[in-house]
Amino acid sequence: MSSAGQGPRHVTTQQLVDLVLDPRDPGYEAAAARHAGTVRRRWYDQPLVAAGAVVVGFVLAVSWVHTHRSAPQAAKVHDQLVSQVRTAESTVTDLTRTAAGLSAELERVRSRALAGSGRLVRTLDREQLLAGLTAVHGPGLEVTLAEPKTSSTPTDAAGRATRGPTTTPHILIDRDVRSVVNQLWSDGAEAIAVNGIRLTTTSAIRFAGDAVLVDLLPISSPYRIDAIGNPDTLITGFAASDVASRYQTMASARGIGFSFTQQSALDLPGSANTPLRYARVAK
Amino acid sequence: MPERAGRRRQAFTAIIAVLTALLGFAIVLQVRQNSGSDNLANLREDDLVGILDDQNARADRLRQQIAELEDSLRQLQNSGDRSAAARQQAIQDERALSILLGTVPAAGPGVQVTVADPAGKLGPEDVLDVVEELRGAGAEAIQFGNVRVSTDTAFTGNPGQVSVDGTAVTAPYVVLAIGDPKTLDTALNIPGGVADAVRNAGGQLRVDERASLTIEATRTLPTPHYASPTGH
Amino acid sequence: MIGALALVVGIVVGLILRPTVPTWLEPYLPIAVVAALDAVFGGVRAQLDDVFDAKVFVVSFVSNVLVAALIVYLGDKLGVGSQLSTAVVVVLGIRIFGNAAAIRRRVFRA
Repeated sequence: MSSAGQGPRHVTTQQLVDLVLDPRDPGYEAAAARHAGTVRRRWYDQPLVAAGAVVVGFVLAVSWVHTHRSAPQAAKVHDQLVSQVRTAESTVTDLTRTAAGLSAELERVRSRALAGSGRLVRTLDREQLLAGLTAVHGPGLEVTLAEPKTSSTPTDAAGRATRGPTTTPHILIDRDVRSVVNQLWSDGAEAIAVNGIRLTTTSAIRFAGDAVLVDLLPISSPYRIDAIGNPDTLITGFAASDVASRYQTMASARGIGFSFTQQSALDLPGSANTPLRYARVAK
Repeated sequence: MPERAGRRRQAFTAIIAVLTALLGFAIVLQVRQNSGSDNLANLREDDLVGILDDQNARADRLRQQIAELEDSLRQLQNSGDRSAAARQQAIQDERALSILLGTVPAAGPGVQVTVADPAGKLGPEDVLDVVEELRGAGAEAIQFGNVRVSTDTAFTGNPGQVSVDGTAVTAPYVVLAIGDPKTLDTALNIPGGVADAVRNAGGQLRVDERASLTIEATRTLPTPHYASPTGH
Repeated sequence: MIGALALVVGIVVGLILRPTVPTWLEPYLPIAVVAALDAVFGGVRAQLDDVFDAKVFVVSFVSNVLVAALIVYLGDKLGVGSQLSTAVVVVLGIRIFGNAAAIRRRVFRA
């Protein structure tokens, strides 16, 4: 802060407080005091003010231009992506609701129409449940596998995470999820869903490009495998399995997330029916 | 004069009330934005693209499902004898499901896969790979050795001593799958895929396409004790 | 009012020319902006208080920028560049608010 012309000053607390609370530039005060109230017009007054103001305006404009130039396409693309994702998510929610509503209505119409075919209906219901077509709930086990947390994500000037020099390598692949699922079936699971995708007679857990696909739908870490069944049998069986010890070791050696907990109430969604195209009943 | 002052005071109070209300509103909005914010803005581009693909895939799936449901509903509603139509649909569904679940023998085009394991190095998970690949390629019915494969089929054991659903099987493993022969064959033989993995473990994998094969093995339908339909 | 006019002229020139800021100058841009705003608000307030002085206006602006730049430059060399930059911006920002408040008091209560 310029203190025009005055000698060394002791900066007292009061002055500091004044500085922050009521910062009248002491420069102006001092200059005014010096001129003792008379307004003196010097030859260089106007041009100086003009020059100073031009520079100030210029600096402000340059800064504006610079900021808006260097918030480049990346930011715009990013925002576009975010809004696209939000739209897609809400579309999925709407569609899910529609599908559920239609499914319920079909069920209603059917059961009214099939009032006299009790056995057929009961068999069909059981088959649909086992095949993964109907939403189910029940107690069971939840197993979670997660990629190890990366230490830091690179950020750009705005503090948003940007594309790093390399994408995080995957330690967990489809095989790992599959192993857990296989073990759970072996331990007596009656219905299993991975990241909310119900496993059916035709769903496969595979790896494509950068993502694990369950039933052709991509999912990402953390992988949550929910199994409905006898919670005690499931946990005892799973805890004692080779699969569990393998991932325990991985957790301590490579930092993956691995946990399994009993659940008293799991809700698994149903999946869509796939029509048969090649197989028929053999006589 | 005093009235003027009084009215001015009223005006000020009104303005203050409005401003405070706005402030409260803004606070709530901001809090809601920050807590309910789904963190999307902080994700990297790659992740966002991934999520977008994911959501689009699900949306397509759902649209297909909705079309099928509407179809079934229409069939029922348009039929003269709703009972008969419903029964027809139900029987068809039941037949399809029993094939998928493995309670009845099935026939159709497909492949016969023979997996030899002379070194005894193939374990349950390697074998599961083969089955999973077939599933992913659209196999509608699979038989592994003498055991019918279904949703809850589990492969256990150790390298060289594999069991399917508790039944021990011995190499060479013969797997029958009904589906599109070409697709199934290609899926198994993708470079770097299951066939290569088997070979790397010292085994061999051979795929024979068949215009028609029969899967005889069946299984009994288990009764779920813990899973119950939601909403019933 | 020549000040206001000149300010507008400067802004227009800057928007028209659209100069690219060299990378080494980038970290000092925020400080320059805040110092510029501080000079503007300080000048307007001084004008309203009838103590405006052209020389003080220019010198304070220039010296603020230079001193702040020096602090940030040293800070960069010592590894606390961004923090010091923040500090400079905060302090100048407070001054701006104070001047703005004073202006407001002047204008709305005559």
